[in-house]
Amino acid sequence: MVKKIFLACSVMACLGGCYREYASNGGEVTYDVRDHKLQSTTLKELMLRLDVSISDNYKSELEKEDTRVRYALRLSSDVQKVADRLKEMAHKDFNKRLSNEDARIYNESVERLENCAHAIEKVAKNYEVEHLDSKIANLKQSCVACHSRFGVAYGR
Amino acid sequence: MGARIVFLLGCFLGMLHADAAVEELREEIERLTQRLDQIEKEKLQEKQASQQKGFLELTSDQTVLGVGGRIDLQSIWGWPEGALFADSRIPLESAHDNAQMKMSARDSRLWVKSRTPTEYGALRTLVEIDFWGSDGNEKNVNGHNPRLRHAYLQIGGLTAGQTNSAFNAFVTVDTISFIINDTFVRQPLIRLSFENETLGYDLSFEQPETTLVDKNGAILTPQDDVVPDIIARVRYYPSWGEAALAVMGRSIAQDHTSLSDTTQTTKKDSAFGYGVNLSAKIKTFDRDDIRFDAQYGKGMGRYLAYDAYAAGFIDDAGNIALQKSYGWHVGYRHYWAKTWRSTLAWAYAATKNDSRVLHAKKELVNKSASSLQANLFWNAVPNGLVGVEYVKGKREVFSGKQGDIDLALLIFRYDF
Repeated sequence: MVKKIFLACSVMACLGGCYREYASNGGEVTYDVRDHKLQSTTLKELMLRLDVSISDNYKSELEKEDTRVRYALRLSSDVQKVADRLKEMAHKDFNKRLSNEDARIYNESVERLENCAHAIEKVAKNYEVEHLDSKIANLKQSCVACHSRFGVAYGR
Repeated sequence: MGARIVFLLGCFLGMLHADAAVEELREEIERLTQRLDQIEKEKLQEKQASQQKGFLELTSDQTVLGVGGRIDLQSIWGWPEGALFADSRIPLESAHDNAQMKMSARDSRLWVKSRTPTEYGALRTLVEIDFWGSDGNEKNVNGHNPRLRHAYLQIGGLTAGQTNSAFNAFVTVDTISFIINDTFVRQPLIRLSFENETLGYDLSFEQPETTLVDKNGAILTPQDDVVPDIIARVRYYPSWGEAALAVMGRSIAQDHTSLSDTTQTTKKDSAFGYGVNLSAKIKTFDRDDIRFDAQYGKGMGRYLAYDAYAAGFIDDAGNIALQKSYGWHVGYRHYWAKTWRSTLAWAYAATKNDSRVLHAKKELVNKSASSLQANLFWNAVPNGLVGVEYVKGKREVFSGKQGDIDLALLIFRYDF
């Protein structure tokens, strides 16, 4: 559970940092930071709710699976929304501020984020809940990789 | 000149032939390498298969099998004596006994589940047992028989088998002991479910079982049911929590039933019973939440509080008079830290009996009950739980007698 909370916080911190930094980077703010904060909170709660192992004494194992699948699908959907907004940012003017190399890496990172969302969705739809943790770890890696590249550079 | 041309042509043809031979040789090596790889792969598969043989054999090589369960030890101190907490088990004032301490591992569970991909989606099954099958004794070995809890399959939106009723409280409080107005039934059923992102719909056809109280206060099960209990439920998953509303319709029937005094009713009768159950969890601060469940119905019977309030009364002739029953509980769960949490819950259940039907034994018919539960849980290790709980329960019967009980529970549980 501690691991999941850490993952959730890391993902949120990463995503939150990205938008906040961009918004405070001067010039026209093309992304609503409040929107992102709401998204982050929702994602964090979803990650926490994926842990329903022993607190529900009445539910059967398949009912617990159903709950995890439902939250995983919602998590996937919300990550996809985040990816869509990142793409939107890139199309508007974000890429213009980046070098060609950085723009390429940024676009690849967004694509990776989308892939993570699709992977979580696929695993959830097939009820392969035993693979959920690894897919969520991939999501975290994707966020960390992107922010280690852009978070610091644009984080003033 | 001509000889030179012939020589050069010969050399050229020779080179071409050599190239072709080399190419042929290369292809042959490639074929051999592939064949070798194939043989090695087959050998490895055979080896793996021979290693698996004798350990586990599944009907499909695409089936994923899961095994799990839990170890659960409960220690219960009751004043007066009592182990299980439910409305009917709260002793009345005249039945007061000394305190008693009991320890039990009967709530340990074992389950096996499987998942097989099909053209209609994943086919999932679950079989689960606990050890409440029969009472053992505490003198020597404390043997308890296994009891079937769940045995069902799910594919697409279809559920078939024995599992939790759709009328059950969708959100339950986080307590060790039962809540006094528990709406909890596990039975054979066929259920159709439809899901979307924030809503789920269930239509469930479940095993019927009429329970009626006769003039002596005895609870009868006529075994004359012919129509399944039908339950429709809507589940809602908003950002603020979870909620569900279940509506049930059921036929309560008897046909020349034997009463507790061995006489038999002279006619058959039936009545339409119904029930509504609303439960929800609302997030409050951080990981805290407030949970509630409220139900009302006429003829709900065994669906509420483990049949503490029968579906209705049966008179000597066999006429059925359904009784109204209702209950509610509210609980607040607070996280002190990531691994420490508590729940404070308050519950009430009652019935509006048609007391004219009761001629005697009114002390056997429950009127109302209430409970207060407070606990502290510690997740010492992942999936491990240590908890303590205090319970105060009260009960009143139609004769006016009352009783109460105090329970202290200590639990050690590990889900594997």
